[in-house]
Amino acid sequence: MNRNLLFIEGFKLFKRSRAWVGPVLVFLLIIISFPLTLDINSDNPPQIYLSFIWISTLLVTMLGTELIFSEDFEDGTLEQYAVNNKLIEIVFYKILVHWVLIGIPLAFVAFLFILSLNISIHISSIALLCLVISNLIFINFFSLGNALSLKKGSILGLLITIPFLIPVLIVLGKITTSTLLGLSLVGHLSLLVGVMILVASFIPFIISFILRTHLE
Amino acid sequence: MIKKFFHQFASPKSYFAIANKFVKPFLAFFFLLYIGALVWGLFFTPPDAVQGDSYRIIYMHVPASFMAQILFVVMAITSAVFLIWKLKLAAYVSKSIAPIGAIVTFFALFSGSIWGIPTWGTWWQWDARITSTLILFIMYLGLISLHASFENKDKADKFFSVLVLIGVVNIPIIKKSVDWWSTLHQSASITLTSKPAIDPVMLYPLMFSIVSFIGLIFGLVILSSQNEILKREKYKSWVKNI
Repeated sequence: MNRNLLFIEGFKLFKRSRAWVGPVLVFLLIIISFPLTLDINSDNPPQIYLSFIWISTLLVTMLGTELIFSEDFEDGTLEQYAVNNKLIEIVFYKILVHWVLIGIPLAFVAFLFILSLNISIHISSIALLCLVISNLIFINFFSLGNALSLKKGSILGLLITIPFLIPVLIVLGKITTSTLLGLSLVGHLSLLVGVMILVASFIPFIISFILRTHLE
Repeated sequence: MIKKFFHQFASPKSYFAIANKFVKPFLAFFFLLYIGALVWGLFFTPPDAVQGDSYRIIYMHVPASFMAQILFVVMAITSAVFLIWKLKLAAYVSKSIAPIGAIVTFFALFSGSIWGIPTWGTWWQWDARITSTLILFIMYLGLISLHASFENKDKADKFFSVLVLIGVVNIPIIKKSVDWWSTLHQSASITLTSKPAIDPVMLYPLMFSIVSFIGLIFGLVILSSQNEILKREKYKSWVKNI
């Protein structure tokens, strides 16, 4: 683990505040507009809100990772890393930094939203945990999509990567129903963690292969 | 000697020449066979006890849904061959499979919808198999648009192959995960491990139609890969001499 490189990546994203404050604000706006289109009362099952949260975080993490490689690709930084054989490391750090600065804040905003609906703290803390885990998976896959569609716009990346995320969404849906029914969550949560570990350790290799092909 | 054979066969030029010789009789044979299987299935089998005559679409629906998955696996194999041994021919073949796979998958979905109206009372249901087939269809479309979006076709081949490999890992996962959620579609009646749950009178024409449909689609894949070779190697001298 190279602390310097990690610090540089983190600072680069932090300095570009639009890139990480923007998605959180967009998420906040989506959340604000949700109660306007749905009449909020206590009769609604909490499932609606949770599924709304899953889908909107999926789309907002897509927005947040849109520029993850393009700037470094254009000014030649990625090429320097590739020459020094540090591409995999950099990809890994970039994803980590995006998770810390975008994924986790999104999860906390969603947590506050769910709490504000008078849903019990037990359910909302489970939702927070799921969001923290699943955002890392989302960010990994969307980075893959954005690496593929570098300079081509993000529609292509979305089109390609969302089919891969469908199993994650199904597991999240399962977690929602079993939380509301009061069933045990250990199986689903450990599955989610397992997927996260697998994805976070394999996707950076694939991304660096793709970036190398771009740089050829 | 085997190595030499492979090297010769794998060059687009000799593949083109060999394919050119046998592709037309091959296609014609399997086309006639498929028509024969359809005629057998549509006119010479008894109606089903429960579903009546509506079950006869099985002779189109089952081969198509079977092929929809098989084509993705074949595409994954050729993509792996391309990434490992850098054979251009494999990339051409896997690129030309994608549109055919999309059409076959669409046909499977469409015929399933038609079949659903008389038997389930609805043309669409968000259940496991249908949804996973729809995802497969979208994956094919994504692959096609990815390949089309790159000017540099050599790069496009690489990205395409990587994505196909990720996708083929994901297909069994998608299939399993949608099984956890709800299902209306029956499970497969014909499996390799157990006795088929379908009467021989209907089973034989079904087998016949599956085999001939496989032949027909592979014939089309060969034809379309020839097309792709001509398109991609149009500046080579051997293409100009054709």
